[in-house]
Amino acid sequence: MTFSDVLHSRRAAWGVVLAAGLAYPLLALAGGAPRFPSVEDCEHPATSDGKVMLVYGYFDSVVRAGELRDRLRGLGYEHAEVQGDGGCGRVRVVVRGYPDLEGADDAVSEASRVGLHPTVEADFAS
Amino acid sequence: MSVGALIGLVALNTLFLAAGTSLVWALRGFRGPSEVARLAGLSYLLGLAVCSVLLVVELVVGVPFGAGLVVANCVAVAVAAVLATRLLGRPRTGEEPGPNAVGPVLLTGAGAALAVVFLEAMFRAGRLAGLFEWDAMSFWVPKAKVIYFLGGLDERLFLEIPGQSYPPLVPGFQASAFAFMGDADVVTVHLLFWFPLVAFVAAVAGLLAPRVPALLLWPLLLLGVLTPEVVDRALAPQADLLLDYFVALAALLVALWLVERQTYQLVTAAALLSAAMLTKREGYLLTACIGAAALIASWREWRWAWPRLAVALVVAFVPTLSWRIWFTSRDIRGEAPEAGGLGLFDHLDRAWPSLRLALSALFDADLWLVAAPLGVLAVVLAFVAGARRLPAYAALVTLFMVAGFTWVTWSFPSLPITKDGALNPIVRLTGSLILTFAALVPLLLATAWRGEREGRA
Repeated sequence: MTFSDVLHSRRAAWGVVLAAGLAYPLLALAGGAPRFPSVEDCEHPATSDGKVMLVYGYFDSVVRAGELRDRLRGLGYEHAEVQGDGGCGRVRVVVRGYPDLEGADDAVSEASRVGLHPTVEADFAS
Repeated sequence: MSVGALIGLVALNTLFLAAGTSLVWALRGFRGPSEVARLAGLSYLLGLAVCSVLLVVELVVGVPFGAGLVVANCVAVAVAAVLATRLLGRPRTGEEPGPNAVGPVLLTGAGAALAVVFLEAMFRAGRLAGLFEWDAMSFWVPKAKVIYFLGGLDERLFLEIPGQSYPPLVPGFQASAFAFMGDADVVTVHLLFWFPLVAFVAAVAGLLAPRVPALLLWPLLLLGVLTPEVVDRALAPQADLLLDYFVALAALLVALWLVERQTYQLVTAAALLSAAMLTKREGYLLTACIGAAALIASWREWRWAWPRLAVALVVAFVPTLSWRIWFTSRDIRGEAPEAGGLGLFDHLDRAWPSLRLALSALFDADLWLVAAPLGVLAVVLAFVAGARRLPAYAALVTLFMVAGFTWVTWSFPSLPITKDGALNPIVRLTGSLILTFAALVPLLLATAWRGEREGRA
C-alpha cells in the first residue's frame, strides 16, 4: 500500500476519527469514572470554628420550609430563616450566626430537648 | 445532573434529528445512507428550527405544554414530510456535486477527528457547568421554568420577567429539555446547547465536504468555532449562539442556492431564518441583511431569483407574527429602537463611534482570533480569481451586517460605546458574522482555488 493509497483510504480516515474519538474519553476516564453530584453535595458539615449555622431541615417545597420556620419562631428561634441550599435546587431552614462549633453543639443539645435535630454546617453565605 | 437527565436530552435531540431527516428527505432526497449521515447536522438544525417554530406558535395560541406536545410536533413534522413526498413525488437531487469529499479522504478524517475531540472536550466542560450567565439566570431559564411548570406562556410571570418582548423559542427549547429530563435541571441544560453546536459543525462540514477541499474546509471551520468567544459562550443557556448557528447556516445555504439553484437550499434557509427571528430580535436584522445581499447579488437573474427570494422571506416572516401579536396585544414595549425612526439624526455624533466599535469588535483577535480578516481576504481572493456572484454576496452580507451592528449602538443612545458585554451587545452581535465567515470562507477560498468564473460562482 502506497502513501497515496493511505491518503485516499476510507478505512484509514474512519480509523483516525475513531481513534481520536475514543482516545479523549479514555484518557479522561483514566482518572476515574465521571462523578454525578447529588443534592447532598450542598450539605457541608462544619469542621472548624467561624461561620457556623444550624440546619433544621431541607425541603423541596418553600411552603413546607416556611411551615418549619414558623414553628421554630414559635419556639423562640426568632432568627430562623428559609434560604436556598447553595445550588442543589432545595431550600433549607437555618439559624445562622454561631461563631464556633462548641456553641453550635450546645444549641443542638438544647434543640434535641424539644424534638428537633439540626445539623451543624459551614455557613458559606456569611 | 444524572444519567437519566442525559438520556432525556439525547432522546429529545434524536427526535429533532428524526424530524429534520424526514424534512431533508422530502425536500432533497438522499443518495444513500452515507448522505443521510453527511447531512445529519443540517437535518438536526432544520428539525430543531421547524419543530421549535411550531412550538412557539402553539404556545402563543395557548396549547398546553408538555413532553407529549414536543413528541407530537416532531411526529407531525415527520409525517407531513412523508405525506408531502407521497403527494408531490420524490425530489431530484439535481446538479449538486458529490457525494464524495474533495481531496484525500484521510485529510477529511483528520479534520473530523479534531472536531470530534473539540466537541468531546466541550461536552466535558459543560456537564457540570453552573448557571452563572446573567441573562440566562435573569430571564432565559426563568421563562423556560414558567413554560415547564405552568404549561405555557403564563401572562403574569412573562410580564414580570425581564426581556418581555424577547421571543420564546429558546425558553420553549429549554422547557422541552426540562420535560424530557424530568426536572428543571439548570446544570444539565447547558448540555442542551451542545447538540446545536455539534450540529452546526456537522452541517457546515456536511454541506461543504463535496464542494471544498478538506485542507481548506476543516481548519477554517474549526477556526470559527474555536474562537474564544464561541468556546466561552457555546453552552450558555442563552439564545446568542443558537441564533448565530441558524443565521450562519442560512447564509451558507443562500450562497449555495445563488450558485447551484437547488430549491431545498432556499427552503431550508427560510426555515432557519424563521427560527432565527423567533430566537432573538436581532434575527430580523440579520435576516434582512442576508435577504438584501441575496437580492443584490442575484440582480442579473432577477426575474428568476427575486420572486423566489421574496416568497422565502415572506414564508420565513409569517410564523413570527404569532409572537408579535402576543406581545403587542399585551402592550409590551421596548422592541423598537430607543431613538425612534428618525431619531438617529438627533444623535449623529454617535454614528462614527458606533461604526468604529462594530469594526473593532469584529476584528478583535482576543475575541475572534483572525476569523474576520480571513473573511475579508477570502472575499478579495475570490474576486481576484474571477468569481463574482459568491464574493459579491459575501461582501454584501458583511457590509450589511456591519451596518446593522453600527445601527444598533447608534439607535440606542443609552448604550455606552464599549465592548463590555454587560453594557453593550456588540460582541454578541458580531458572533453571527464570525460564524457566517466560518461557513462562507471555505467556500470562497475553494472558489478562488479553482479560479471559477462568472456563471458558476
